[in-house]
Amino acid sequence: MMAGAAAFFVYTAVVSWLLMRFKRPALAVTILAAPVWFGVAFGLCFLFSEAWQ
Amino acid sequence: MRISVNLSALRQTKWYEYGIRFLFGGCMTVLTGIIAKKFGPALGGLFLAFPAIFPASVTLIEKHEKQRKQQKGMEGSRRARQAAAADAAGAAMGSMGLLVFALLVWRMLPEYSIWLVIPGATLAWAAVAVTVWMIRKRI
Repeated sequence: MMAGAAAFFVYTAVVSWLLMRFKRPALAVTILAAPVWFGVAFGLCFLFSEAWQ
Repeated sequence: MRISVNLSALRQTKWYEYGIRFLFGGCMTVLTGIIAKKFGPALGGLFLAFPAIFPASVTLIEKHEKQRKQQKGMEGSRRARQAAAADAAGAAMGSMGLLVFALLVWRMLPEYSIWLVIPGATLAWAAVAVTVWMIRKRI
C-alpha cells in the first residue's frame, strides 16, 4: 500500500500538471497518465520488496 | 482560507454520478481481494491505492464547473480544467497522508490491537493531509 500511495502521489501530481499545461479533457489526461501509476508502483515494489516483507 | 463543508455541492451531483464512483470503487475492492488471494497481501495492498475513483471524480468536477460557468454565459473550459487540476493537487496532498497511514499500519499492526491502530492511523492521515495543505497554501 505504501508503494501504491507513493505512486498515487506521483500520478495525481502529473495529472494536475498536465491539466494546467495542456488543453485536454480531464478523462483523457487521467487515462493517459495511468501508466505513471503502474510504473512507479511496480518499480517501488520491485526495489523494496525484500525490505517490506 | 478556512476549511469548510459545502453540503449544497451534494445536490449538484446526480444519482448515477454517485453510482459510477461506487461501481469503480467496488470493482477495485473486489479486484484487490482477488489479487491478494492469488498473489499475496503485499501485491493486493499495492492496488488499495490504485486510482479507481479519481478519474471519475476529476471528470465530474470538470463537467460541473463547466456547466456552472456556462449558466453564467461563459465558455468555462479553462476554469473547469483549473478546478480539475486543483482537485488532482488535493489528491496528491491526501496521498501523502495515505503513505503515513500505510506506514503506521504496517509497523504497528503486528504489535497492537487493530481497534487502536486503524483509528490512530486515520487520525495521522488527516493530520498529515491537512498539514501539507496548509503548508502548500503558505508557499
